[in-house]
Amino acid sequence: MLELKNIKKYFHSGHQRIVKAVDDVSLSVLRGENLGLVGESGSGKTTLSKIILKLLTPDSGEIFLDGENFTAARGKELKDFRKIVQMVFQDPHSSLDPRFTVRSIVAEGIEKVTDKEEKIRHALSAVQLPANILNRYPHEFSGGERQRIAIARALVMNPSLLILDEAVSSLDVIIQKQILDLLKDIQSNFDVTYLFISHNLKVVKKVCQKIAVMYKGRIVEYASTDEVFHNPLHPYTKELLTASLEYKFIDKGEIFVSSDAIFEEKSKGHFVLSCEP
Amino acid sequence: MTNKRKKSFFNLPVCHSRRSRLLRDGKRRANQGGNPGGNLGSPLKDCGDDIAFSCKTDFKSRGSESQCHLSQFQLAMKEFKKSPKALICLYILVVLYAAAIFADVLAPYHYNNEDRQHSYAPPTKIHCIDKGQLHFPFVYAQTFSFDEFHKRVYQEDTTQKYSLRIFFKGDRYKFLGLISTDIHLFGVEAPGKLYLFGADSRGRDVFSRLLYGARISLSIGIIGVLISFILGLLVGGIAGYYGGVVDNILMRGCEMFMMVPGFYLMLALRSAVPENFSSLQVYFAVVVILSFIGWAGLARIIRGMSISLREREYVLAAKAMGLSDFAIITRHILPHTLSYSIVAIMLSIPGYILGEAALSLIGLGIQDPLASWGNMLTDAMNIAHIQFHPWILLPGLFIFITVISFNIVGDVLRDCFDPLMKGVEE
Repeated sequence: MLELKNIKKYFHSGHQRIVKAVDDVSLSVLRGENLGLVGESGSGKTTLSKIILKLLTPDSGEIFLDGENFTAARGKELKDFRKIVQMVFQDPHSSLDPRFTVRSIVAEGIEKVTDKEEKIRHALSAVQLPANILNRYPHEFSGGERQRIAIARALVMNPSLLILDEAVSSLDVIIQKQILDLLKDIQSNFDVTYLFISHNLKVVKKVCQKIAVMYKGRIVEYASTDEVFHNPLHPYTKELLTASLEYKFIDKGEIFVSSDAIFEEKSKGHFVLSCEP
Repeated sequence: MTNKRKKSFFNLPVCHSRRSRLLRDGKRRANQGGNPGGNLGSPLKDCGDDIAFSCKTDFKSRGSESQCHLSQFQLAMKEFKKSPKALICLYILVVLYAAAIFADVLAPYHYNNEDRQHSYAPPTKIHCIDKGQLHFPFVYAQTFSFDEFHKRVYQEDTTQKYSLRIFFKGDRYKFLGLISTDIHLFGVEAPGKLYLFGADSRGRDVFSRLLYGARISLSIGIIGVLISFILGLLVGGIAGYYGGVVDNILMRGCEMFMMVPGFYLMLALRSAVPENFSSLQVYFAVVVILSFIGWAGLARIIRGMSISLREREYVLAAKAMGLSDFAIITRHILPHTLSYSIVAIMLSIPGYILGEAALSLIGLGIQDPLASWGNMLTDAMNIAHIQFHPWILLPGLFIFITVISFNIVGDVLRDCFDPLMKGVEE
């Protein structure tokens, strides 16, 4: 459904220092097949998600959605694009405007007035919130409830791709589990695919069929979830697994990632970035 | 829960005297409540923001929906009502504005009703007792003679008395510009003259002219502030939201305006206004000139605020929803600068009132016979007049009261939107 081709985004941060936030990333998300994007902080996950949402323009590369090229979309085309791709942000405290009631937050993306109320209620019931909270303000809710409101806001647009940028990272473990279960429920009712961005492999494992590992702006490994967990090939993936789980791997020191490294298919559907200089 | 709140409260910087007041009040209350240990959480009890917390727990227990929907603005209003000096000033302003709106009913005379026989007549005395008998309040006729300095000395002619009338028929006017009528709230019968605050050089009633002048002087503040704030908010919002080249161009433009000293810019702009303008046109010219000077400072501050606001996630979310830039600026950015803007509006209105007064005083603003507080003071530019007819300084007193009231209201409002309060809420 979504296809990224050779996306590059460099930031210039004075003194001719260049930060390669996203460096030559190609990625595809298939309909109904949730993709987890994992990597440490600063690896370029959020920049990539903003590029997908077209909140940032890439320096080079192309974005395809259902075969259509949206790289240079503007005006009405961009509006159509944004109906299809929606995002849930990391921090539910700052992603909801404190001056808006739940009703106006959820209703924000709805254009037609006719079945507004019905759509709002439908979205709220999808995230399992009672309908009597519509006139309340975000500060009256707990983190988990706010995140549900944020999900409802995205769902009301009826997107086919939902980007969840660290959507559960700021919640405690119990609420995390509730939200993850909720996401599974939603998927059975809505025709939506998740692009799940996280640094937490356990969380990604719960919802995603495929995993892409990102490091220093590049995708270093791309395979199905099982493959990544049982047969990690790239040293960074191994390190990530060691850090998050009780897996034991040998630390190989500094990991080498270069712009002209080759991304090759080791076994069927399992891609790895070569790390030999 | 209590523990956490306590901590967040005391971690905040001590930046205001009200905090110590809150603490003091809280301690007193705690002592009155027979709690010698002193509940440290209690100083917060009356700071309004407590509601945010009680609501949160309320929701969790799925309790009633009562008193939950207080926005930050409502909380500030709650705080505002606790300051008596601010309330008094607010009432003064309400009374002044009401008087300006109903000026033609309240004023016994039209602003241009002149009587050269009563030039600089002193305030008329209102009597109730005539020859030992109680009467409905009345005034005596006034006659004058010249003293050795050829100054008029007014005396009461006790043989002629004129009764005070309620709903008295006087000069014709259009009530609120719609209904033609001649009924005034009070006045005296025709040959008699009622000068509550004395008369000016042409024998016009200062009280009536003050009321009519209030219309111009007070409305210039409001209209001028609105124009310059709409301009300042839009320019600041756009510059901050887009950044880059747009920001650069707009901000350098603002600096061009701020660079020229205000009063000279005012005079220069005034000189560009054609001389044959009608009084209404002059009025609008003055409003536009004054708002042209005021907007730049606000635009700069709003720009700074919107630069930080545009990075908020709800702005990104709105963008991802496909909202237009204009909708994002007006819905998600400018409303967040509102608490600052309201205070800034209150504190900058006096500037407009004083600006109008200054222009009119030197004869460049509102022209005679139209009354404004500024041009009424033209008479008071001569020290001898002030000495002999002190009542012509009254417009100055009213300007003073208005300016002070706006400043106090603005000041207290700023305290109410204090960051300390916001910190506790969030």
